[in-house]
Amino acid sequence: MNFKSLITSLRFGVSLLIFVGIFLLRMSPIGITCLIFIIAWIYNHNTVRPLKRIPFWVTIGFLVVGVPIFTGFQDKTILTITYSSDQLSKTMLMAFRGISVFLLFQVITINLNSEKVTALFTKLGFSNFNSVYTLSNKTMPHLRSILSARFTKLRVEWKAQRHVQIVLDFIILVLRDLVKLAESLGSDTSSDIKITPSSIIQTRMTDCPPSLTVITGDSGAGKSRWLSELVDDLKNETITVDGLISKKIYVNKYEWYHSLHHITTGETRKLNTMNDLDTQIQVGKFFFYPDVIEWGCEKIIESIDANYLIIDEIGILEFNGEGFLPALKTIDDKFQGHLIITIRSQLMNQLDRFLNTHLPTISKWKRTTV
Amino acid sequence: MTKTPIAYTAVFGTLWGLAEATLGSAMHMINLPLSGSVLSTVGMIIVLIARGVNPQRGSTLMMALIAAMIKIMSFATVKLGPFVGILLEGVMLEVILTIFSPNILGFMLSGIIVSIYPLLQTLTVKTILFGADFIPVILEMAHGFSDRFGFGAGWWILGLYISIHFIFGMGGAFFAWIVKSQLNKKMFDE
Repeated sequence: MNFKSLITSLRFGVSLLIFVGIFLLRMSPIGITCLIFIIAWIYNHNTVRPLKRIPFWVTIGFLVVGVPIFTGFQDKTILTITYSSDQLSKTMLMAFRGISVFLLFQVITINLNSEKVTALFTKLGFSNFNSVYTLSNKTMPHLRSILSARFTKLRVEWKAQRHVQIVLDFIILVLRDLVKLAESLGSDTSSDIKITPSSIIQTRMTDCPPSLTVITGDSGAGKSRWLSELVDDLKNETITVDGLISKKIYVNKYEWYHSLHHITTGETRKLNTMNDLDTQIQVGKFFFYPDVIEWGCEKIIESIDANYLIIDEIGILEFNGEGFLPALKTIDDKFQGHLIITIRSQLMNQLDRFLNTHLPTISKWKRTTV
Repeated sequence: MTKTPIAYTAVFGTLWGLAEATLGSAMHMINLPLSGSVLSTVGMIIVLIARGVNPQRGSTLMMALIAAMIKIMSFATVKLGPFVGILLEGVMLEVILTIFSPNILGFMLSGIIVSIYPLLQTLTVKTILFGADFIPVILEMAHGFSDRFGFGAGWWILGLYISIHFIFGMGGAFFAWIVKSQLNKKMFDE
């Protein structure tokens, strides 16, 4: 986001408004805090949600109740308890300031997501970050299974003999397994998608639809190329296939965009641009054309009768409730074929939560990750 | 970094992130006091052991980045508090382990830093939220509480609060040293 678009953004305006409110807080602490609360709530309902948490109110309770009772000149009484009215007004102001500053931070950070943070780290010069993070995502299922297996063994041994050494042994065995896992990952030189499109077709022929295949990989790993091969193979087998394939089109060495290709008609539309665009839909450095997203949604819904439906790709937009999600929701309990989606490796951790929240039917389908 | 150190960083960074996401969420759910201190200590133990088996400069900072990313994914949106907390812990441990190497001195200094750090983080965050009066108010409170109940009660409570942090930090560093030694022995035997 450039400077101009930053200062004209809604988030900037709301943050500035709250910031000014915090400076004017002394004029009317209750009124201004309520106003800040309403502004934050209107901007995004989720900004005020953490205020429900008890620990936040513990500190405020300590300030507003504890401090006036135990400090300052005790000049007033309530329910036979003496307190300092000076200290009470001081700590009340602190409490209102606390709520307001908290809401300011919420407004500033509410739209941040992991992909933006990853891009920021890479931009900041942590050149290895992307590869380590990708490897971390690959590691996650191995790590969970190591912990689960060792913990099951620990429970059995603990029942037989309750001794601290058993817990220490458990920790050492887990760590030894992790060292071995790191060694094996370090010697593994493959990073490309290994399963061929034809092997997926063979597998799916024996499976009863509906099913979900998730193609995962980094940007440039060859997901779209792999999908194009799959489409060709399916067409050769005279199996109906429809959906959308996203292709990266280079304008020059430093600039590119994604074009959306409709499989059946061959129609192609420019999905996004790195140039400033008057749109609310933005992910990282890309501004999206809303009418093309709408067109893509229509094409997905029209593909409901195909044997294979391909959607390239599901990402931050959909995870935030935008992009192709409306179309996916429409087909959730209607599509009866094999659904194939692509997703970046960094987002795999969030896929389960996304499916469970937005696509309850698809989340229960037999799933294969490639 | 070559591929094997990257793999060590990824594996142990993921372990740290998982511990933060699962243990952290569980402790926050039941509103357990001093959960920040417990999580910092767990993170430090993982970092110290990882640095013992993979003494690569910069790996601790990278582990912190991975752990912070996993932690923020456990929330619906990015929460700056835990994110910055993990990163700062990573930066401090990286500096210590780069200067002193992962030896007993490095471990114990890490323990001291992890003892002090959650206190400093709490005070900094609360000062940003509630204003510059926050620390004077805490000290006034300890003074007033001591006056009301005698025996310097307020100062004792404050001292106990700080001591618990030191017990966590130093105990964690000592535990990490024992585990690291036993792990090395086990791997050598195999």
